[in-house]
Amino acid sequence: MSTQTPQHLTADELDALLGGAAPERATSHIATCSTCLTMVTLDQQVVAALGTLPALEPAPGFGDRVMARVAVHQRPLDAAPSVAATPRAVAARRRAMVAGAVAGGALVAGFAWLAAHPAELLRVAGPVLRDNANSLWLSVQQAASNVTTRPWYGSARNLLATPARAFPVIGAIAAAYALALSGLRRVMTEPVPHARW
Amino acid sequence: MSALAPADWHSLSDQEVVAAAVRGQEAAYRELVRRYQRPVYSLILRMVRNRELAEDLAQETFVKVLNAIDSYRPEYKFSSWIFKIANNAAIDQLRRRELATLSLDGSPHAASSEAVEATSLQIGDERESALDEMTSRELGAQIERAIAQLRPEYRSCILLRHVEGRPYEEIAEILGLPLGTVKTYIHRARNELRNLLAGSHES
Repeated sequence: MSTQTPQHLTADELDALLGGAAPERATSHIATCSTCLTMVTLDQQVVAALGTLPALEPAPGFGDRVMARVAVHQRPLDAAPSVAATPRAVAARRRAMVAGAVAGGALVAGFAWLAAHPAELLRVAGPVLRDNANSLWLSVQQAASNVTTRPWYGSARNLLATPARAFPVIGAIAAAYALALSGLRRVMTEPVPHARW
Repeated sequence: MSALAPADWHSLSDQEVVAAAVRGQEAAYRELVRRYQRPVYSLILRMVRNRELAEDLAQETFVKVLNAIDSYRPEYKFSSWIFKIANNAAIDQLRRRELATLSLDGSPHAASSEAVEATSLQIGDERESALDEMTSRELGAQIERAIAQLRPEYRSCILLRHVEGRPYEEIAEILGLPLGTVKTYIHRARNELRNLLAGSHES
């Protein structure tokens, strides 16, 4: 065997040999390099010796001592008796059902009466609806005039003037929003690498 | 799942047992302790070299893990989580008190002969013959001594890799180190063990 070899085993090749794999370069190298062969043999002995170390047992009663200090969190599904079964809860639920039935009946009766008397409905609600609609329209007009007097309005309008221009802009905004959202989601779910738990 | 017999718990994966623990089943907590008490205790004892201290730290590890079981994230292996906490507890302890000195025959901090007895490592297998046991004990003692002389970082790596049989990726996750660093540490630890064992054979 010659000890004059171009390159000794790398750590990865040594690992592979210890793991039972036989990479071609590594096996052909150790066939000619006594240094590496000795290293592999000794490492195999070390690994084998480590593998024979027994698992050590804590003192008897370890589990009980741990459990004495652990608070088992009972989930609602497993938690015994639900409040739904108590007489007080049953009476409260019955009262809520009666009140709900009365309110529902009154609502249905009201709709039925209004359907039978549409003229009466218009007489009462017409002026109120008309006033609210006027107020809403004035608000919209005022908001629109506020926007159109801004210096950037002209360029924004030009940018969105045709579908050919508007679609890329809207698409870019949507893509930026989606990217930001997915980035935020990733940050929120990223594990903390050195968390000490 | 609440009325599972002990044998049934054995057939469940860690994730399933943890899920049952999260639902508040005490038997699931006990099953996790049963599964991990030996590896966790072994790792800690081989790190801190003191039985009483190792037991305290192992208890702390389990109490911490089980009381925070709600915060366990299933995308990680449960074993990685518990070994990480166990290793951190051992490393913190080693930093606080320099217990790296080997004491196969008992803790150097033991104040009485009973304490020396209590803190000594018991190695060997009852099933072996007396001769085998002696050889095994001798080899085991040598390797335990050699491990104790490693730097704590190397010790964690070599124990997790070659005693607990954890893959490199999981060790990197447990120790919070890059994969390449873990490989380097294990390689160096093996070199040191090889030299230490060769030295002990010569002497």
